[in-house]
Amino acid sequence: MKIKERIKSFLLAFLVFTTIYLVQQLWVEFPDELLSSLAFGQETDYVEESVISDFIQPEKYIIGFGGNNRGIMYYDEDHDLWNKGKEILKTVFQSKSLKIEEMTNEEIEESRKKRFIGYYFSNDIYTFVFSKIFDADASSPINESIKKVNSIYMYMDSLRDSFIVISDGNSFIKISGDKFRFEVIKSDIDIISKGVFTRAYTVTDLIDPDIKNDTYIPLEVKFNSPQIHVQEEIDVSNELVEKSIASLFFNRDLAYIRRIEESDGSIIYIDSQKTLKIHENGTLEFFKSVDANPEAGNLIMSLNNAIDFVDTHMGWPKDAYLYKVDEIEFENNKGFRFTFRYKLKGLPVISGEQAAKNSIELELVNNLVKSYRRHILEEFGSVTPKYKNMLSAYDVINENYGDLKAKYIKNNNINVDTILTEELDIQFKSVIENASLAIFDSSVEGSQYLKPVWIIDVAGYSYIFDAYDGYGENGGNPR
Amino acid sequence: MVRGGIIMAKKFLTMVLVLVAVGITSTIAYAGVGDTVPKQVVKVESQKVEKEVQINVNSENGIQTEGDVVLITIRGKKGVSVTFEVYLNTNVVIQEDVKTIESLVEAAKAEDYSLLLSEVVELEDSGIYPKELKLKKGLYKIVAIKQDGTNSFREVRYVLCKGIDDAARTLDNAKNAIISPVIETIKKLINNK
Repeated sequence: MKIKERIKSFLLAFLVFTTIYLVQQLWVEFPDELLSSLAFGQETDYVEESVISDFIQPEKYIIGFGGNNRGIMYYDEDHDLWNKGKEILKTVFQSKSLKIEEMTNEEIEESRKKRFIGYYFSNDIYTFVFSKIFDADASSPINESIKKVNSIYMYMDSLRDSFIVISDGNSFIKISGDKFRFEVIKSDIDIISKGVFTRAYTVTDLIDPDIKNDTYIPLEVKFNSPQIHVQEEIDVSNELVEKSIASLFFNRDLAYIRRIEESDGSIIYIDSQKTLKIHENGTLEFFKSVDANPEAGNLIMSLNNAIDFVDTHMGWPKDAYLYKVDEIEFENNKGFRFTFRYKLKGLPVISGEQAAKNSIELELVNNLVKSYRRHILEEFGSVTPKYKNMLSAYDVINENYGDLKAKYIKNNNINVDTILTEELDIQFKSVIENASLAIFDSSVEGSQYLKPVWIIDVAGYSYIFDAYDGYGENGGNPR
Repeated sequence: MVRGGIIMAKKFLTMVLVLVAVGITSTIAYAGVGDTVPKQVVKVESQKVEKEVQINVNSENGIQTEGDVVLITIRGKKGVSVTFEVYLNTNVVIQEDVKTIESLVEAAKAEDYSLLLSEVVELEDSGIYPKELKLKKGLYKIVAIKQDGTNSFREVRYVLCKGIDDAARTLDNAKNAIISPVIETIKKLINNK
């Protein structure tokens, strides 16, 4: 009997302790974990650390197969071309025995016929950012020869004729004198050349042999990009999500933070140092006061701090990349504005508005975050049209030729009475600067899907066209 | 005598200076008048020399390799209707080291060309009609015809496709045959040539 009683007592004690433990888990720790994992899909005590090189990604790839055979790729799901290119560039930036020289126009022209891969970036990137991500010496001779980079080419005709070219669009710097390990990329280029690929032609070849325009555009595309169904990353109507976000920015009990609910549904949290606003459309804005410091901000340090800040404040969307770096000044303190964008289905997500939608924007002064703005759409499905083919960049230029030309005339205040029609035509064809593919957020009320578009840059303006029907989506935004 | 000579020289110098001054002034005045010529006149002149229809092929010397894709562009004025035809002649004897196609074009018989493609295209705002063409071995004749009432404007271009490279063919055959270290050696040789 005694033993039976003892077992009962032991069981009772066990149940009491288990209950206490579970209640403590449920009411003290469990809600926090639940909220954060619901909101951001990650553990509270684990933050994935990102590095600058994660955010440098090309907008498109041009591949020269030799002669006039060239392909264009707007995304790379199968070959990992950029990561392989980065490995080669790392050895180049770290090398001490390089021959660096500026190419002549004849050399540039000649090199177009060689076997090569070209990485094109959406904006200029400081060369020393590349030095940093490749752990190279800041005094690298490459830094001295070119300040910014918007495209990198690797030429691989033969071992004796292997070199790399770095360009800002105006000057082309040839780097040779080292043994570049192109074998891995070469085999990928061979595979691509034997498959179905989209061919690229220069504007000169495609539109007018009498003009000089080396912009590559496709005549026919061999793929269809999908329409993407999306939802806002932040659901402002969900109070649990809202509080979870607020607690990331204010490291103390939210009971001590003033909360304002605006008539349009936006929520504001404010204390003496910080302001957080979550807009009804899912845009988040955060402002923080920064102490004055005469020391000028350092770009690399600021960029690292910006990346770390996002790491710990809601994290990064998949395929985020550094889009733009602007220098700013705030109350005589110098700083930087970093704009990051992200890709869906391999293509950059863009908005027709100039406001920073579909991006992450941070302003840092004295290397400290002063403001943080974020608007991200999350994909939850996609549909690829089966019964119609996507138009090429050439198709949309051809369909909208008259309209684009009229806008060029208007934007540049050209008096058509004082210029020959043929001369105007040549001028216009010469200023077709870029054609890129993107996923477009039309911001139409109630629209829950994004569609593929062509962005055609003409004389400093970006025009957006539906990639399936060729209709213009904007009147042209200054680049 | 000497004094008289000096006076004569002075008179002569004055005359030269006057002539030079008049000459320069009249040249400047003439150039100024030239600038006021209406641009419309120049426009008409330049239109007169423009070709009715043009064919461009992005091939340096008109000689390509089998499997290559060439870009053909037809150029003309906006709204013009052009008949675009492509013919292929496979009855040509092509030397491996052929450098020009003129002799082959001259030797080819008209009946050896067979029609591959025929389209009537209307040139849009850009005045361009581009077309990609994947080549097989033979001599291509590309024709663009613009019919304008009773007048017909015709432009012809030739492209020779001389067949796949021996080296590339060897490599392809090797790849599809038995896997052996020899393939890698051939590959390296070709890559390093």
